[in-house]
Amino acid sequence: MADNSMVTLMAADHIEIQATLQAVKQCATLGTMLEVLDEQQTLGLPIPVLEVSGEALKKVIEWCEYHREDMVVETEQPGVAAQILTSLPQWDTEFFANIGDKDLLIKICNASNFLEIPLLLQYSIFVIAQALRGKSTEEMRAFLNIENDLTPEEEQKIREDNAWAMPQN
Amino acid sequence: MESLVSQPAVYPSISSPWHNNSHTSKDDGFMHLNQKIILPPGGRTQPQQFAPKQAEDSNMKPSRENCDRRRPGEDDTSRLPNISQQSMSQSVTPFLREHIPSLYAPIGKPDLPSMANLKNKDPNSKYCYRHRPDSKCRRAADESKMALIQRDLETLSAGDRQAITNVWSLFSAAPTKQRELMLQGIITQCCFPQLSTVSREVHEQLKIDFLSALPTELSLKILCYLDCSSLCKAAQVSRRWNALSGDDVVWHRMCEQHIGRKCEKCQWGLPRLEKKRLREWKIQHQYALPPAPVVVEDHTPLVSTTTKRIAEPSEDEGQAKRRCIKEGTDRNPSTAESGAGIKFRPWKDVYRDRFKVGSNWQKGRCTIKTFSGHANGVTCLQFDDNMLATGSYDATIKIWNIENNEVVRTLQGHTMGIRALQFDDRMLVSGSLDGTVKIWNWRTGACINTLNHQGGVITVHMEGDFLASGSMDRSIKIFNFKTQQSFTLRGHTDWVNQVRLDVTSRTLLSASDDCTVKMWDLDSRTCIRTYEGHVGQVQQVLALPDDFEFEDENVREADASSAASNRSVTPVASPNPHNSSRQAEERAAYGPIFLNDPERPLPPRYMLTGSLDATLKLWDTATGKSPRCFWGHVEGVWGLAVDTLRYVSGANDATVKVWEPRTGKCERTFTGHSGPVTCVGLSDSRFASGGEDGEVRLYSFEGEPSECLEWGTPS
Repeated sequence: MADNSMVTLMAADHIEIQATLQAVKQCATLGTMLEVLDEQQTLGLPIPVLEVSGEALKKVIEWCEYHREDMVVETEQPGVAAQILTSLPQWDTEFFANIGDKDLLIKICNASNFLEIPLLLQYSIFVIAQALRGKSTEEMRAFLNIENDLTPEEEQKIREDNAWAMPQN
Repeated sequence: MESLVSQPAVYPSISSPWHNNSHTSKDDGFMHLNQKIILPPGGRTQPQQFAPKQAEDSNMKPSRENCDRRRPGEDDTSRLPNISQQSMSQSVTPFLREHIPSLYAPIGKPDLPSMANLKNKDPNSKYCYRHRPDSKCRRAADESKMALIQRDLETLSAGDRQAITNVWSLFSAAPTKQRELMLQGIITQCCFPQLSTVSREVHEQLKIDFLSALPTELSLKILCYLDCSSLCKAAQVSRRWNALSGDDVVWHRMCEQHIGRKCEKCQWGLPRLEKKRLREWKIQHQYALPPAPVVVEDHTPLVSTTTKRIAEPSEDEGQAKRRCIKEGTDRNPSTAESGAGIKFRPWKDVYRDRFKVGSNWQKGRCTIKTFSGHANGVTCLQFDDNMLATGSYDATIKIWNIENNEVVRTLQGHTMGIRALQFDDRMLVSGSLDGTVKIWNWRTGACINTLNHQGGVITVHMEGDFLASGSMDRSIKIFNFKTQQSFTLRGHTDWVNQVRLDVTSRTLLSASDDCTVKMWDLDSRTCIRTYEGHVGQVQQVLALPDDFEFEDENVREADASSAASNRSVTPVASPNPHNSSRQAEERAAYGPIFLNDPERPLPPRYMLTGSLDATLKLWDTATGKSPRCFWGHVEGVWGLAVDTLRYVSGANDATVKVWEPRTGKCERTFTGHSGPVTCVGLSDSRFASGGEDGEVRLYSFEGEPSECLEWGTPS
């Protein structure tokens, strides 16, 4: 099968998405599945990805299409400390900037985990973490609308336990 | 209308979405609709008097015709198209019955076909993130929002209330697909001010606590990208955040990035502090487990104490990564051997201990101890956790107990001033202006051996089986403890002030009053290379740790920008294909001796020198160039000590300076000696300086930040 052949993916809400085979192979999960299955018999059948919503799958495939030429990164090898990511390449920065809404971002994060796309997973995790960096506790709560379920005593204790890392020290 | 007013029950009421009491069975196909819907009882059976207005002529498509701006004169109260009983029973009720059969279809005659139908239609039977019954994240915000909506609603007429409630009911009853259609229709009808409301509300409500929304392993990965301060702030957010942000996975990663090295991301490096723990552990176990285990000195950071556990030799390698110290052993050795509850020290605690020391260094917060007792200037020193050894022009060597500042022993035997000393577990060697090197058993004070030079001995260094010494007679002598043989290296044209062995590559570095540094091959006993550049006598030369990498700022910035503009920064794990040729090039730089013996380990790539021209210089030993010069001392540099995180230098100007290796900037200057500083020593959490004033000052950065004073002057 030529690498530019198209396949159809079917997302949770029965939305069908076209993608190049090469792009789909960025997803280790699907790549393995395609290798195991008999190509002749499955040719033309939509690949079910019912765990991922159509909206998220569209974005994931968009990313994969752009990155289809890239070498598929091996999943983390033990011993090799994971690369420290300090910034995203320009295209990916824009890709994530266009997502905007956090629900979709989290879906993409989950989807890349499920589909095993290590680089996309790393990038989306990085983007989520970047949003939190440098925020105070109150800002984090407000930013993500988290209810403080700590009792005042617990809160006091945690504050004292973590005082060493605060800038004034 | 009257009937509505008379029945309070018809008041539309919106309940909190987490009260999932109207339909709770797990397979009913729309758990994401778990909003309690209370329709007026009349919604299904009672006649309603709403006059059909627009609903009748509308063609069921979302229309742009009903924009309120186009009909400014219309009466406010009758704005809403009322839904007739007929249309209710024709459209609303069947819709509700179909989608919420448990509520709208009598239990006695379950609407089986439609339920089955529903199951097939909507495979998404999981709770959505927002309405999970266990989700707490939105509760407070939603509660207050609900109250606001309720309040606004009550200001409207009963008819409007009814109509609005009907719209909501329809929406809440609808499965995902229908809901999306409804929304799209509504949004198409919105004017810009309403769109703006939608946008604002959506932004406000789309705040997702990712730590609840994502699986734990992904949450931990996200936390791994945070810095120390953000992690500690995250710990105070909520219970779940506290647990996750303190997880060992996260802090192990933090420790890997920072301890014993400078983090590439934040340039923050932390001390190892391993040796002290190791020693404490050793002492306790030596008492506890006869025969005493033979312990090999280990400089590897974070490789634990468990690798040295003779008692548990079968411990696997994975365990070795963890610091397996029984809690309480630090303080209470008697309970250490219970063996029952081996507790792991949380990595966050490991990080915290080192962070305290690291920030103390940065801020200059330390405690100072002075050791005075020598009758003349101090010329050399070395210390470990509890022992300090000093040599002086008074011809004696003193061993001090750091804890109580007392002299444990005075080694006497040299006839002139001591200029150099070094000790390890086995022995102490000293070099004196009397022209001898003496080897002592420092535990008993006995002199074991004496070696002779033709002139005063200024420097000694031992490593492995070798002992090297440099002298005023311009020669270097190498003594082999094993063979008891010695040989001489000649080439310097003036006093040899410092020698450093590198047993791995079988080379030696020497610094001399002839203003040069030489690298020697111990096999052929010849000089491989001479480094010229200092304009004053070179007093000190030290090889830098193997992991030191010199980075030119210009090159570094260029690299970073090219990486950023790269299409994809796919991490490359495979070794650089040019590596082998680069290595061959580097090998050739050290001459035919190394080129012809590809197996021979190369000498240290970088070295640091200190000279009486008042500068420190960083050298690339392969190219012979000095890419960096450290300016700051105003008089000659006598003493130098380095580790991966900092350099410390002592000079004739009576100051000690702490330098940042990467940038070459002086971080802090310490004063206190009343004369030239002749020697310095450095460990993870302390440094010491000895002066011609006969004193040794020990600066310790271990204390609690609140208990330490700030010393030194930041630059």
